[in-house]
Amino acid sequence: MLFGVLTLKLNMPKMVVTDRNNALMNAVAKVLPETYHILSYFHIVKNVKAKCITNCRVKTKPAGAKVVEKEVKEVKEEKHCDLVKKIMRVWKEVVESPKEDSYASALLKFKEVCEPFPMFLAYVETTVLNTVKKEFVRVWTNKVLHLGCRTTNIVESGHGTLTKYLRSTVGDLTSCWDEIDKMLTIQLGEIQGSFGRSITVMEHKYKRHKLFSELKGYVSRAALDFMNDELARSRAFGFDKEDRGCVQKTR
Amino acid sequence: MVENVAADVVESKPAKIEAFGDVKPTVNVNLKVKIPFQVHIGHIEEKSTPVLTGVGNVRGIEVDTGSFFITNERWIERDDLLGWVRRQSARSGFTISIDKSSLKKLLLTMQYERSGEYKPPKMRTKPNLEGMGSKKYECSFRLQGFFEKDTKDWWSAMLCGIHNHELAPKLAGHLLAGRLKAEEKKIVIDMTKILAVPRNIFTDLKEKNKESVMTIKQVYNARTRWRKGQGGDKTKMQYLISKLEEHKYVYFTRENSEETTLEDIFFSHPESVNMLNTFPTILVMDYTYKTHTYRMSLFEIVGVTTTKNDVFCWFCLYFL
Repeated sequence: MLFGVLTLKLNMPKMVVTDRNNALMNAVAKVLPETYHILSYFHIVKNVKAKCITNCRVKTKPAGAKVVEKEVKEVKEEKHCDLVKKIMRVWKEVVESPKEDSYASALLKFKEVCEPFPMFLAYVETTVLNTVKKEFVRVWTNKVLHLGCRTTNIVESGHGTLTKYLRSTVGDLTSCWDEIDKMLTIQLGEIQGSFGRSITVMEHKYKRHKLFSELKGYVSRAALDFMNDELARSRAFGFDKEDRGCVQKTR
Repeated sequence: MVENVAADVVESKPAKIEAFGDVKPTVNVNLKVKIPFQVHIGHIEEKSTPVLTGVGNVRGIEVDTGSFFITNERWIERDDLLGWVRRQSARSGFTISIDKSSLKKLLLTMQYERSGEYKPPKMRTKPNLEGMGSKKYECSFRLQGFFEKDTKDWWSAMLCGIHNHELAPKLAGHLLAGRLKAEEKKIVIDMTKILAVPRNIFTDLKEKNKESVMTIKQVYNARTRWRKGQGGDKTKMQYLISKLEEHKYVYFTRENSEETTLEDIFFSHPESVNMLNTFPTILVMDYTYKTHTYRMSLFEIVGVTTTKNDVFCWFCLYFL
């Protein structure tokens, strides 16, 4: 399932996002060796949660009397879901930690919480943290130009739209292609339209602004929005990057 | 049944042959028209008598529908004449087919759908016809259309208006009556393309033509015929590749070692290749399954454009 066609293109992609699928990861490593490879953190969080639910059980005390058994069960279940929630909260902190020191502290906290469940901890360490941590934890992914793409949800939504176009799962290749072609034509039209809008239309709020009005026709509207947000943020907090957790990047 | 039909644009005259005397004063037409009219009355007198004694009496039933088809109307086009005849026959409760037509003489003979005799197929050995029936009634109904070269229009003449069988009160389900016309077929196909369901297509056609007696099965049949005829003689794979080439897609395929089965096919829109060269920064890849019958997964590569919210599918790859 390697695809040699990509290498024909002159501009090599700078970054690739996939989910944690070994075949796909190997293929990307082989075909695009110089490209930075990011794993969808959403999928990893999902996997860890699934493992957590099965592995981390609340240690039950031996039930004394038969009469009380029902109550004990209810309490136990409640505790179980609470525990999972707690673990996942800590795990998310680990994934989202924006700096290396905060990552280390979050990791320590995570290990502390997971201490009673060595199986779960071992799973997380072997499959995720030790091997591919640089590819999904925010500390490292933030060092790459990912344009806010840290999950594969773009392509997932693409699949969703496609299934809507297909309507059934029993068509043959040609009918599938027909629908894909329809979808592509619509998407292309939309994109061309957005380019056209970016070139010709300017939002009123940017018109008076000297900085933005000069950019008309050169920068897309979405980019202008981003710049506006960043400008507002910098005005509100000054340029103190330590406080905001911003990571300065020069390219 | 015969009496309450005379509502078409064309006036129909009573079928009796004695009416010949009455018709003359009532019809206000110039001489040119009158002459052929007399001729066609003459036709009836000549030809209908022998037929009546021949087959018509075999079954002992006689239904006269001649009154529907006697008219002074002239038609410029042959199809107009045919259309009028078909409408009239539908009113009287039977369907008409063309028996003989000649473009040299510009002559047209029409008959009842089930007129004529059963002709056994020509085979070397004699076919065994035991226990076989035919839908042919040997009905004597005949109608003729002629082209007048002087006035350049068509006119019709009744040869025999008598059926030797009962007429159907309703024509729905008859072979010829409910057939879709060419333009109706086009409507069916167009509406199928925009995913209209057959029941809606059917009601739409019925609304457009209130007299039509087609059934919903005919809509289904037209759809299926269209779908099957799409690929022509090509196999499914050949058809797909011809489509890809027609739309100038970038594609490549791989077969298994014996070159018999497709293993994977990769294609991308020509525009999306341009897009990739413009925005090569980020690629998102994933695959999904259950998109079609062949158990191949669909692998998609998606990129991000500068206008942010537009997400664009660049490449598709099917693999086993």
